[in-house]
Amino acid sequence: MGVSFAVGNVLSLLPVGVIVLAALLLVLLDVLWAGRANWRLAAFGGVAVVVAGIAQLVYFPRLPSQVLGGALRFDGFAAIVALTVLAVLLLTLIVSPAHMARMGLRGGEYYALLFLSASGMMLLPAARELVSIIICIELLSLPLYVLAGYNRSLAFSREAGFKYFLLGAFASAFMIYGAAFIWGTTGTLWLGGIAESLPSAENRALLLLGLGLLLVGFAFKTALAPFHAWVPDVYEGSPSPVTGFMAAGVKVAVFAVFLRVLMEGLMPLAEFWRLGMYVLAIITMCLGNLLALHQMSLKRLLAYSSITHAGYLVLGLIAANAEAVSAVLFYLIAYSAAVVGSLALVAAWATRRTDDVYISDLRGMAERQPLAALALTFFMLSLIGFPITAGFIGKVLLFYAAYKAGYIALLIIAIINTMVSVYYYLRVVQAMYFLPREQPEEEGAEGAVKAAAPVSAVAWPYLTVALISVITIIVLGLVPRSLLAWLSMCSF
Amino acid sequence: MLIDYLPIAIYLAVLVAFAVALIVLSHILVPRNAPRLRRWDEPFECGLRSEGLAPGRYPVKYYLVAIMFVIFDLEAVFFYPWAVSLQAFKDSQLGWLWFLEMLVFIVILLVGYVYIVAKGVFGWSESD
Repeated sequence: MGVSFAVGNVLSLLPVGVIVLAALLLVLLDVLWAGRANWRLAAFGGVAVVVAGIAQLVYFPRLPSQVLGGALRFDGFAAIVALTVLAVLLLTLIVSPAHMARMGLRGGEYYALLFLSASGMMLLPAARELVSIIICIELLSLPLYVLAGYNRSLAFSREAGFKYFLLGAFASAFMIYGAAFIWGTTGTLWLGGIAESLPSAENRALLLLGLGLLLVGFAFKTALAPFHAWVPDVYEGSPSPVTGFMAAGVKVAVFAVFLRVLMEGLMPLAEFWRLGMYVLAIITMCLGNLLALHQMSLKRLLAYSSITHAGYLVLGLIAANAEAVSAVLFYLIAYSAAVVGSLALVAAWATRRTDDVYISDLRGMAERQPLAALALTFFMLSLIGFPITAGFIGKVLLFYAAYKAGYIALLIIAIINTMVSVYYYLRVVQAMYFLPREQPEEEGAEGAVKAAAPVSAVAWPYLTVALISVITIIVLGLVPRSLLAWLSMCSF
Repeated sequence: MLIDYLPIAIYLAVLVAFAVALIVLSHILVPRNAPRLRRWDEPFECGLRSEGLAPGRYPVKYYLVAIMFVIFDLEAVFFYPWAVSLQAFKDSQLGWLWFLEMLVFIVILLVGYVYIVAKGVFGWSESD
């Protein structure tokens, strides 16, 4: 009995390997330094991320390379997603020690968990087979459940961890059940094999049931309405840097693999999933926007905005053409920069009692902290899709892909939604620039309590992350070609 | 065809009979001179008088050790399929790959072991 198995070029695994190794070393260093070395752990992690990034650039797969019997295929698409995840991880590492110190959080497991989750995110876009995909999604999610509830002294954070865990497990169950039905009807778990055997599959009803369950699982993970209910609570309750990591990293990785599953595995069923996604996109965009309109908490506002952006991204999934691949990636990178930057500022302004910022707290921010206020303004403009920011280019590319695929009605709904979203993003900017700072003596007892929590000056780690994000947004907005040249390499 | 399932039916019958027997036996053998509860709303503690308050804190060391046992036991189960399929991999010149796979697994396990020992999970008394 022999085993036929092509190992492939193991060097493609080097960046992920560095991250996993760093996670293991972080666990050991944490016990060695007895959990009191926040900064040193973060610095070690930062070095590891840079090494992994360099490895990813050196071994940038110009030609796709299969690894471990073809279960993983590393190509330009996977490499760019991995680089984005590494960048998000690095930015999260910069703000984390300062935020943990301010919130009184202890324990270096935080960093190891971040790294483990990132390793799942990096492997996910390379996975070519449903079992590997599900394992990578679990690898990505399990550490995040713990991280969401990391601030144990806050009831909000405990709630976030528990809610995320329950609904995440629920979503995984849907996904696994769907994969099982697809395996049962096609006899294979490989994306390529599924695409080949779909036209001749006999049991159409079971196949569509599997497809539907798989879509529901993915919709949970990517926060598409009506499977979005966990997002606001989880985003609000998690420690702010974790929220940034979650919002950016999970979206990038899961949307990348979603696109790949749909385009490589399920294209013969396109008429069915296109219809489902069409409905989901409309519900998600409209509901996300309407619910965001009256949010008082900046983190909740960003959570609903994240739902809305997931709705826009579905346009790219429905289009599923060559333009859509690079458009979705560009949009995800632009979105990541804006959301990580704004959550770094939320972390900087957050009070220990809530780990959140209310829009009323932002009043008069432009006078007190002009630089941070300007940065937050840029993030909001990029989330709107205002020209000269990366968000604008991302929206143009995405909408063009949808236009080219012929989804004009959907496009019009998306554009109307973009206009509606201007209201709530600009409300943040208006509070910072045009509303006076609340005067405690005029507001009475309640106002005095509110103003008693001082909005501290933004420390350098937060400001660094905010500035890096602003520069990314402006550079991508002014010279999109710099990234698009790379993205054009990753059609699949 | 259906006769093939006879062992399962017998197994099921024995299982149910055993459970029923335990309940019946405990009902027959229970000592009838158990102390009477003072008040009807106190929890019944296996025939003993309740002492102290329920919300008090007590160490749950055994719980952690049990969890660790389950985790390591399940991970040890992974060795068996590995060992069984080793020959097949050796025959097709992939012995080193298979060896490395297990090495990676054991190193990850070892890191976890060092972590829980250093965190004092196995320290039984408070002073450890």
